[in-house]
Amino acid sequence: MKKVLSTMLIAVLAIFMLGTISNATTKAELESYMLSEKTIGGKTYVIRDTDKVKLEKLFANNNITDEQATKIKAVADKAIAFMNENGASTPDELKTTAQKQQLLAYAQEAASVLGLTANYDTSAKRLDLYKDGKLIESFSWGVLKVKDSKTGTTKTVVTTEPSFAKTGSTNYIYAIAAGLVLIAGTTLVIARKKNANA
Amino acid sequence: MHNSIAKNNNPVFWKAIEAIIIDIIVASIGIIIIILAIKLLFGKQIKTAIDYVDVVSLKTDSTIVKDIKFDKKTESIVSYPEYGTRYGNIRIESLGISLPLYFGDKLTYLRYGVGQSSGSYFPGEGGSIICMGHNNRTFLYDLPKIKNDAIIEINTTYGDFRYKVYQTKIVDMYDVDELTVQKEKEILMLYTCYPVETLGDKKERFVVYAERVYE
Repeated sequence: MKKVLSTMLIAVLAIFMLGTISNATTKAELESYMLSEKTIGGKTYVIRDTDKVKLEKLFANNNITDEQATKIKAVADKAIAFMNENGASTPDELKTTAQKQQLLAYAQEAASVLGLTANYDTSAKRLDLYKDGKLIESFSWGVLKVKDSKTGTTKTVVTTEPSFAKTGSTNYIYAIAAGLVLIAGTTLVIARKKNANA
Repeated sequence: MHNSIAKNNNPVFWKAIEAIIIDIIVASIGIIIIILAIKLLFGKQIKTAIDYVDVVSLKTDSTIVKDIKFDKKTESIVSYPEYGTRYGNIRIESLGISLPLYFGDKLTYLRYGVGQSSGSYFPGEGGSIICMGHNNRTFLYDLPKIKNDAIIEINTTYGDFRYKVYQTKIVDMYDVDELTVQKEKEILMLYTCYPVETLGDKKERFVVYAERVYE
């Protein structure tokens, strides 16, 4: 269930990132659309600066034709309409497994237009994009920038832990190994002492 | 006859050896039973824990530095690498730190050195560069000791870049806005988990801010 939820969230984000609106679309229009704010399920999302950089790289590395841009936009339109119909602004808000599967299908469809494959990392709340089997980009849906429709101010909403990469884990494996050796050694010592006292 | 003579000569010694061996066997069987019981009851959680430990355990990497093409005219990378590409080294001479630098911030890369967030620019592109590394003694344990004006060097196949430290901060791990990404100025932000002395996941990050030095 959790996996599907995450997939759906990624799918929305991916389509939000990759999709565009209306009919024939050029690559430049697609990029412009992706960078602009979007209202989904009643909430307005503003693209984060880190995601802007990721998109710049994606566009720089992939020669997107107008035909591809049009296809991606069409998929994005479908996905956003789907979310709005179901009253969801994030994949977490989709109620059924079928809905979540549908959103995932949109994400995979959008990725396939560029010859990419989409996958998700549920533990990290992240959509991973692969090209020829190699990871080329990763979008997190655990951190989103939401715009207040009344005040116009934006707020970063963090729903994943941790937001920063985990950099505190070090040599646990040695601590565990040392512990096991200590237990084994203690057992042996106790066994021997028991013998000596016998 | 020889054995019986030996035993008769030192029966206490052999009895002690026999007792030790029996005790070791009994203890071993006991441990095996306990391990099996734990595995049956918590097998899945243990596997998850071991996988996690394996991912975050540090390793030595011997991959070569990949040559990345840089367009000096547009000040941008010609073709961005895939995740996990080692493209340079990061050095802080004042702290004796010298580590490989990878593109991507997944834990699988951080076990080998310092990772660079794909949501930031590359050295030389004129924007924000976000890098991070583990806080153990052979990685960024000493990072909190860094002083203002210290120099951080990033050496890549397409050029060498120097950054002068102007600020350090301890931030909450949810304060993602403390790592501002922009393209007006080349700023390096290098962080590690804080505090560095304790094991386990940390709620804070020690962030070093450094501005590029043009020579």
